[in-house]
Amino acid sequence: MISDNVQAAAVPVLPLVRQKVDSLTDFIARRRINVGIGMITGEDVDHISWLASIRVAENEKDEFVDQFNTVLEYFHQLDELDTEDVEPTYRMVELVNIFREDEAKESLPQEETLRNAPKRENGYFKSPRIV
Amino acid sequence: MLRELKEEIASGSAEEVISALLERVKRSRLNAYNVLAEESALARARKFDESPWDGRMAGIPIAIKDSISTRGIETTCSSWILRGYIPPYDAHVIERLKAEGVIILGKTNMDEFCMGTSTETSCFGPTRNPWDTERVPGGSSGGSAAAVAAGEAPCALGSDTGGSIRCPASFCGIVGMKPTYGLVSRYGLISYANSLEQIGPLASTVEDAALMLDVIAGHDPRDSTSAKTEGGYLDGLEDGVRGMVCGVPKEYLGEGLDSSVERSVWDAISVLEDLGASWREVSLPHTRYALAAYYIIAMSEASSNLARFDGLRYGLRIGTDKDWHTTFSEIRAAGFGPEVKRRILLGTYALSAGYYGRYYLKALKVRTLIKEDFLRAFQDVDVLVTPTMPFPAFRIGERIQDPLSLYMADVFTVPINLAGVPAISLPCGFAGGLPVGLQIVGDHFAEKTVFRVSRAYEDATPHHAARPQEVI
Amino acid sequence: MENEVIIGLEVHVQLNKLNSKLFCSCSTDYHDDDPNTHTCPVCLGLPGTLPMINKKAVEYAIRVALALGCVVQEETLFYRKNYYYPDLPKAFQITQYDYPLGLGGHMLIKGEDGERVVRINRVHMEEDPGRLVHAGTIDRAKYTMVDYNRCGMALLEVVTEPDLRSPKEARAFLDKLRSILDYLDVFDGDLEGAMRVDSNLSLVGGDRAEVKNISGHKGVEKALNYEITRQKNVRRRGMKVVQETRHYDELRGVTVSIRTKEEAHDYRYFPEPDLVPMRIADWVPRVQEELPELPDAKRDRFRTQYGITDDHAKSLTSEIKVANFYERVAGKAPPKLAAVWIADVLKGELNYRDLSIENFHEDQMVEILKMLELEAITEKGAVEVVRQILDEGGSPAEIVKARGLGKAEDDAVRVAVRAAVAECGPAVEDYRGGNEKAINFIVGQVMKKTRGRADPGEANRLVREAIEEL
Repeated sequence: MISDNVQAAAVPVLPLVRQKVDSLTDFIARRRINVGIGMITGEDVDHISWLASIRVAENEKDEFVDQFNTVLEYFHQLDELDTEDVEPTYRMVELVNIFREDEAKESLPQEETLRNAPKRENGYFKSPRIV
Repeated sequence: MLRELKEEIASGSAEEVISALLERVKRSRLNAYNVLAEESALARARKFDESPWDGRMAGIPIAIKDSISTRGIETTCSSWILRGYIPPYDAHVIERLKAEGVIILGKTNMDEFCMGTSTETSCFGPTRNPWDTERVPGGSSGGSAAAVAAGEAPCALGSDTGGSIRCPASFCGIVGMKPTYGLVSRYGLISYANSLEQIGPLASTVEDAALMLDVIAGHDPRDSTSAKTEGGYLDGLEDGVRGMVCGVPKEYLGEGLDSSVERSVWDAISVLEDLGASWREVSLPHTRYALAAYYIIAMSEASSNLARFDGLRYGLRIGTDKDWHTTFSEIRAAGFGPEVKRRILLGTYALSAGYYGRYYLKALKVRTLIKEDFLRAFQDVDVLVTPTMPFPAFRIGERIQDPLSLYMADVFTVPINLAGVPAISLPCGFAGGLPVGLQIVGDHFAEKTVFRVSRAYEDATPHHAARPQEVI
Repeated sequence: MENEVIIGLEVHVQLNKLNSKLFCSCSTDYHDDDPNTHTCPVCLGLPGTLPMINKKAVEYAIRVALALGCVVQEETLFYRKNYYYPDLPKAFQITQYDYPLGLGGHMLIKGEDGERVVRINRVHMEEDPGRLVHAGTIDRAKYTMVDYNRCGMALLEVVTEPDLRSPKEARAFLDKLRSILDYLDVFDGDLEGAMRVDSNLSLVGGDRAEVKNISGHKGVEKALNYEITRQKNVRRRGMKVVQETRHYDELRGVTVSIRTKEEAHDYRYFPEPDLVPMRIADWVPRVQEELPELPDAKRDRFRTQYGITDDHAKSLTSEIKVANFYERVAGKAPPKLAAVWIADVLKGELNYRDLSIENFHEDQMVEILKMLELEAITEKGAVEVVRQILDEGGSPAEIVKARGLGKAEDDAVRVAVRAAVAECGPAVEDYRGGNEKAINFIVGQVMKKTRGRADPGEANRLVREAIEEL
């Protein structure tokens, strides 16, 4: 099971609160409780940008930082809910054991496979160099 | 309407109908279509006229949202990154529609990768609302809704992740249905948030929507989440609402809701009461957490789903190749619009080490609470009746700069996707000359009930017959 | 020195005996075909496609997990492992993470000092990425070509605990694993890319390096020996071994650093939303029932049932086909003799020619063993027969006859030679005096005495031998 530790560590001190948390004071107070969860910084954006493989230009960074923090702050209203004993709903269907039989069927012709490739060579997709 | 159109085409000429539609689209400035499949549509129409084929939608023209894979027709999700991509395969729904004889008109505009409520994030530019061209048609299936409302297609397919069918149906004054999760195969639907989205119909009438759902719904052995269902959505359509109980969730009416919208919804409830249904207030207590949970789940899944667009196998490839990571990063930076990048980056953050529990897992747990809210409500009521959108269509450019205010527009539609239940939006009046949508929500796989209530309401009211003037 | 090394393995085994890939219906039979001819929208990861699990692949995985002594889990799931690489068309690999298929097994190998128990941490399923073809070496190529034929093949990842203490033990583990997979009929180890190994290796007290891209069981010793030497040299220079991933370059026989620490990976695992969980616990009894006798058990049984040596039993049971061949022969000929001739002779001759046991028929072996038993043929002659069958075909009897390898005939020639040498005293003297041609006269006499049945070349050789012995 993936660790729910972050949540578990952050929440016990919070009772089941369902009032709207909308003042800045409340928000800051809540953040103090949630030790270790900071705001997103420019460095975070660099790291996420690397992970997501989307270059973020220097002049875009500040705007992203602002927007992300606004949105994340909004997300943090979920912290009001005590979900320790709630099972997550991964899927909307309760199916199990959906399989196909091991039958081989025809593949696409090579030409069809490569038709959309921006760059190709001798039946291969051509990728930028690895190192 | 589709029934009459089918007869008209069978006794007249498919080619004439298609040409007239294509002409109408070409002189329109709504920008509802990304691609017109002019040649193939006309060729198929001529073929039909020569030797008509059978099928429940034989000869009927249809517009397809550009998030659905169509063999041989460019499919872009309104994104630069997919420009020029021609799928070698048809989505399951397209196979089913073709088997029932439709003729595909083209691919409709949308918010880039379904991420939006206004069809403004498209790389093809915004689609305009046919009721007021300064306003948005809603989104993300804005092109499909605008096309149907403006008579540029008799019916269309959309996809709905957090309201993307119902929102534009509401803003454009037509019928739009999001089925129960699993009812319609997602094979061929370009994923934004797999665990939330469904393909569904946009049409002028409830009957048309029911017919279309009957055609596209059903088990698909290529989709593990596809349910086995029996269909038959046209059966009992006219059985009325006598004795039915409508729930009105108190969290959906009140603060933040446009007063004309609120009035239209109460009027609609009165109409249903007059038809023999009763109503009672119900509570969906976790409603106010739905938006946050929805956006966390959608962004997280999107960050993974949209990772494949790197310009290697299809789509945009720019600049000279450097090392692969730099090249991919530059292509993706250039190919995605700002909203898509925001959601991918935030989703990446939400799934990253140390944050999974706080965001994704937490949101999945909140989804459980929201789903339970609905299940509890459906123990007492047959359907829920709510507004589709908190306000009518807003102006182009009005909200696009402020992501959070744009997200807030989805407040009544996203809980439905989180619960996986079916919901329809149908016209229920006007506010300041702009259509207002009524949302009717059913229990899991209770599409028949939803259609039945919708049809009874539609029969008793004139709203669905209102049409905007042609926009040239 | 060997004791200072700690090795753990992650072995990727391609379930290439399936007909189709793990999540799509593309055929697995791509090894001799052009690039990108065994691909479809699903394994190319085209937008909108969905995976669908191959049921047989899951059954094969259970088979392997049970054979390795793992506990098959009640419920097992697929996850997405998110990372970018040109061989990964969806930019995530569908793999297992929490809730893998099998946990906690073990395998017995011949270690540096006696038997060693290698603990298996887990066995899980995942999809194979595509294949990259570099224009030159990985760190110098200007661009890279991608073939997705392999992409989506069902892989099993077998992860060991760090229980191995030398490259030789790593090799022994892989040999044994290969043997078990061969028995389970899920895997053809001879196909390219059938087994690929990543290894964690550290010297005691040091950081570990991960060596990736070791192809198969044969490369592992070389790659790990290189890595040990490298780490020792780093230490010798007073530096620290950094924790990193290194790529094994088979052509140059070296490991190359491919990732630096600032690019630390964060795979953002989450359950694959397009697949549903598998509850497979109730498959286990049936699969267990159908499991074949495995190499260790067979080896023990061969030893006791046929009274053969442990070395022979081990050799005969490393490949299921050889074991079956032996059992069929042992049913019709003396088992001990059969063990010697199959394990020591036939296997060697097959290896030398890079042939498999299918090139030899059990009846041929039975016939040879019968002739040996009746002393109708010498051991040397029997080896000749085996070789001739492998090189040119034919039945043992025919070969013996044609080549005059029969022991009786052999004796007749020898008698004739001895008589001829005794009778032709002057010719023998001439030969000894340096007249080479004198030998021809004696050979002529041999031919006369055997009525031409002797092989002239052989007779010539035997005559010279006989004269030497005088």
